[in-house]
Amino acid sequence: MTAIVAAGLTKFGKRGESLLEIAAQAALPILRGRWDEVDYVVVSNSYSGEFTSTSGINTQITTYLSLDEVPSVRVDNTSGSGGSALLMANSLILSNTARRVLVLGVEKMSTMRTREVTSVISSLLMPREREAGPSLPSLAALAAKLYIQRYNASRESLAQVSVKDHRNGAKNPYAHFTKEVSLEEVLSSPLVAEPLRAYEYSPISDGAAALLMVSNQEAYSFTGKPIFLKGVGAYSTSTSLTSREDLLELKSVREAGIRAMRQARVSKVDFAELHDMATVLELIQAEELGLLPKGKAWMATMEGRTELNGDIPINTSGGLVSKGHPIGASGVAQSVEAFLQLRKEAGDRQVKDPVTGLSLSMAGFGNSSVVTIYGVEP
Amino acid sequence: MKLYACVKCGMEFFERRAVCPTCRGEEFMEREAQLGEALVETQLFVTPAGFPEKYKISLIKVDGTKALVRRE
Ligand SMILES: [Zn+2]
Repeated sequence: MTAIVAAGLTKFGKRGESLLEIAAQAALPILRGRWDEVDYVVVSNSYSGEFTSTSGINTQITTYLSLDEVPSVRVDNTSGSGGSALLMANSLILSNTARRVLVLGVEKMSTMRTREVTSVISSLLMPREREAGPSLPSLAALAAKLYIQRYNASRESLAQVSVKDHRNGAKNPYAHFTKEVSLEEVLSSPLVAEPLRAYEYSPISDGAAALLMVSNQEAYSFTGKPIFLKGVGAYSTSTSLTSREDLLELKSVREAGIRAMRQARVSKVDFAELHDMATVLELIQAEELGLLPKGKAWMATMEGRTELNGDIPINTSGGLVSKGHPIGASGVAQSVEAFLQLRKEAGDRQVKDPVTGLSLSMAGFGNSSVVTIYGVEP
Repeated sequence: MKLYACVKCGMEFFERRAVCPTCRGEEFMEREAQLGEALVETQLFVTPAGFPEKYKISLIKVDGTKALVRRE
């Protein structure tokens, strides 16, 4: 397997800089002094065409970074692009196609208004289902209704995910929102798709995240504290929502998790970064991954078990809800958080002595998932 | 409500496919079906550009499959 030896991040949020400038901000701290070492660049980006009328973003970025002749590729797997980029970088190294890969996730979304962004994201739906007019947030709302109904979950428990995520985000200087919110504030924020409200969804953000990945053998020549990929699993679920047995089942999450855990030979982890595009998804995903018992994640959240000092801290970075969700950057930023946590460099949001961590990068409404397990040892 | 049915095995779909996932048949016919019970529904307050500003989305049972339907 491979290791992460350096990481970079920009502040997420509404940014005045261009797509290229944001990408450079995340990449430069990694690249300085290593210009001749990077031999492949994997760019995670989904919507440069839609949001900034830009194509060929990978070679534009390498040229902007004066890595003009370094081969590169853009990986697009919608909101799951980051995890897929990591998977590709891992494969490039393991196949001896490349030795030192810069993984760079970037998205600039604030060029468009909310309803236009909603339309762009909806374009990932199958044609006839898209024609009916669901937004991705409305699909999460359907899942929220089913979740509350099936498991007798309290409405507050979903909002509590947002309270917890914002509390973590307030401790993350790179987060889009760095302010705590109360349960009352979450439950009185504007409705987006009932029952879910604005503070229960990820905001529209610009931002970038970067990693330098190398083989395990080389890792210690870059840093005394490399973080190792122990397992990576990928799986898909039908993109056709009407073909799915049950909207509450995110099979891609479950199966990707099983594969990653099996490869990593672990059955539990010390923290997890999940894909909480909406609060309810954090609950469903935690259950699908076996981090919390089926139908009980809402209760565990109310009991504080997913807080920084809980037995399974979830979304220590603030998650997508608080940190923000620049589509192509999100999955890479999850790896950055795992890198910081495992190196004990996460500042005020550091969990106690973690040795393993997990991230879930999910595309669409669970259309595909990549789960990665990280450790302080190979 | 128009559905697509696999000619070989009869499996029904809301969304068109080139191949039947059950029997790998490649021929489909269109048929009309009655909407059944709504499985779950939500009211949208933020809708995608190009659609009305407010409506409901329902996941509805239709014979052997489901449909996504907009209700204004
Ligand atoms: Zn068939």
